[in-house]
Amino acid sequence: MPIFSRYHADPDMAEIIAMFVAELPDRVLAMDEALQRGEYHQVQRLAHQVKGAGGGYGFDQITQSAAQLETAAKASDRGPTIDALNAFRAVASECHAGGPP
Amino acid sequence: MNKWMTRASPSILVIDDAEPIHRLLKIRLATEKYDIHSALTSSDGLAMAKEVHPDLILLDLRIDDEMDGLQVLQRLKDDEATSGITVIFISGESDGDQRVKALDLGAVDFITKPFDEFELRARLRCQLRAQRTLHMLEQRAQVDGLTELWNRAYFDQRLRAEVAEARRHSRPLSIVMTDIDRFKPLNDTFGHPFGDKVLEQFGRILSHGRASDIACRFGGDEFAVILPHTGLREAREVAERYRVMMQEQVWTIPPHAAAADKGPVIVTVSLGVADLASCGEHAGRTDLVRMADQALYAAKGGSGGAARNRVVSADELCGESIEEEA
Repeated sequence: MPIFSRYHADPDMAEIIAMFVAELPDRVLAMDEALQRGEYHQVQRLAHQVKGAGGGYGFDQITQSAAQLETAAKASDRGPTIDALNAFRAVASECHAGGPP
Repeated sequence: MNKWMTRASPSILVIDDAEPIHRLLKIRLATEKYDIHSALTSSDGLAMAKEVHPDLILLDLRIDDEMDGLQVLQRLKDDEATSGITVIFISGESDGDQRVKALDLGAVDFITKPFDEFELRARLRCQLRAQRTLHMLEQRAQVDGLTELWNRAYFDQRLRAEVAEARRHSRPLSIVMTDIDRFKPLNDTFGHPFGDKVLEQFGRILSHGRASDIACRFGGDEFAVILPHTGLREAREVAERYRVMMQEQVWTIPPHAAAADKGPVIVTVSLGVADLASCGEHAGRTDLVRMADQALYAAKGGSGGAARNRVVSADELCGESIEEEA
């Protein structure tokens, strides 16, 4: 199910929404790498950043999913953090700039 | 109202470690025409706060590993250069107890991520409005009502700061003390409204001098001007210009004044000039004022009081006293 920003019809927002979406894969990659190194604190930070921004860009699911990842990473619990990161990856991959056709 | 500082648009410093938040705020605040500065780390944020001295700081409660938002706030409040800046926190929904601490430390408000754009703009407007009112009241408490020059309280405070600044950087600093010649008879003859007009007009002359000079009403018909970065000779020239300008004023005599038929009225001023250098190595604010006062007294002609309409500077004082003794 593709996810579109709540603000997709706002012309002022179009450019920065596109940037935000375009940067999501890099963010997921940075989280993957941090987790591989066992740097839970870094995962938590990255999740916290994207949690704060997601809703502001009209992607509430990003904020919700990142919040779960932040909580899991905070507990430094490997299994739940991997699960939460995978869930976040799935949400991120569905996010699209622009609106529904 | 020549004294009020005016700023084209309020400046806002955003301190947040997430680049997307900066971009978002710039778009969401675009209609407000703020001058927006961005810092991505706590140390950059502190440095920029000192450098740009923004009207308001939007500070992420969880900024980075080096310092959290509360520590940044504490640093801002501890530094005299930044302690007066209004700080609003950007926080997540789950930061309840942190918010109480932040308010106790001196933050004025919170905006919660994700932002509601209307609420964001309204909260900023509200804080900037409160701040404007406060600044206006602060300034008004330091301004003389009649002349709109700085008042005595401001003069004392500012001169203390300027003396310290001049000492720190080994720069010259001068002051001019001045009053209106025969002000009391002027009042008695032409009435107090005329006296007020004279004070207002002299105030206008003093405030239209060089932009860097700080003109103050010292009290009654006495005025004082602080001239930063100015040595004695240059200050004397400034004082001389004031004297000439006042002498050249054309005064309309009130029709019902007792002396209305006595021809044109000329109002003159006497001025005493002193600089820090002529007050000695460890001289302070009060020495400077005393020296300028002595020079003013000498300009009036000393105890005889025969002279007036003159400028006397500190380096001429020895000569004056010898003359009197002779």
